[in-house]
Amino acid sequence: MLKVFKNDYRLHGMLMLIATFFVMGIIGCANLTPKKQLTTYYGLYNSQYVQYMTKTGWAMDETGVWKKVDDPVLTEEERIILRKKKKILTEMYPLVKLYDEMVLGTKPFSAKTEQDLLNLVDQLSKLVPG
Amino acid sequence: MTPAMVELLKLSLGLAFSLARTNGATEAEIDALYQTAKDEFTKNNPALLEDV
Repeated sequence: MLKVFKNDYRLHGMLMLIATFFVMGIIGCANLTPKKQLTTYYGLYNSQYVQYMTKTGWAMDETGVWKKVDDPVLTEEERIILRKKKKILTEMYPLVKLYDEMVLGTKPFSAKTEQDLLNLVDQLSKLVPG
Repeated sequence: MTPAMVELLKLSLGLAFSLARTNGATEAEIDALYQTAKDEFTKNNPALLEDV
């Protein structure tokens, strides 16, 4: 059973998707304060980042530093998804930092930044393993 | 299941459940969740994401 799970990347993807939809549901449906929404963005980014790093053979050591520990064999399908995910996370990182500054009041509120973030979250949800 | 997958699963589910709690959380609890997530975020620089 565990061996099947270990090798079933579709199942891995589905589990991550369920978690992502759960988070997106909270973002979309719940009436979150800006700080709660920001915390949600941080959490979503972090979970997707960890998934990418794990999938590409990286692990965080006990000091909190990422280290390459494995060289996994990836299918072309997985590579395509990971490339899209990297692009989204790279775009998302500065926007989350900017949103943090908006919430803390050090930068003026921008509806465009908020919408851009929601669009990236939407794109993340569409990265379904084939 | 590899330890990394276990961690990943725990993280995802933990995140989902912790966020589900935020609506009923106190201000102090929200602040703690926010700070933990922000600290982790600062370690997760996208420049480290290797090309595949």
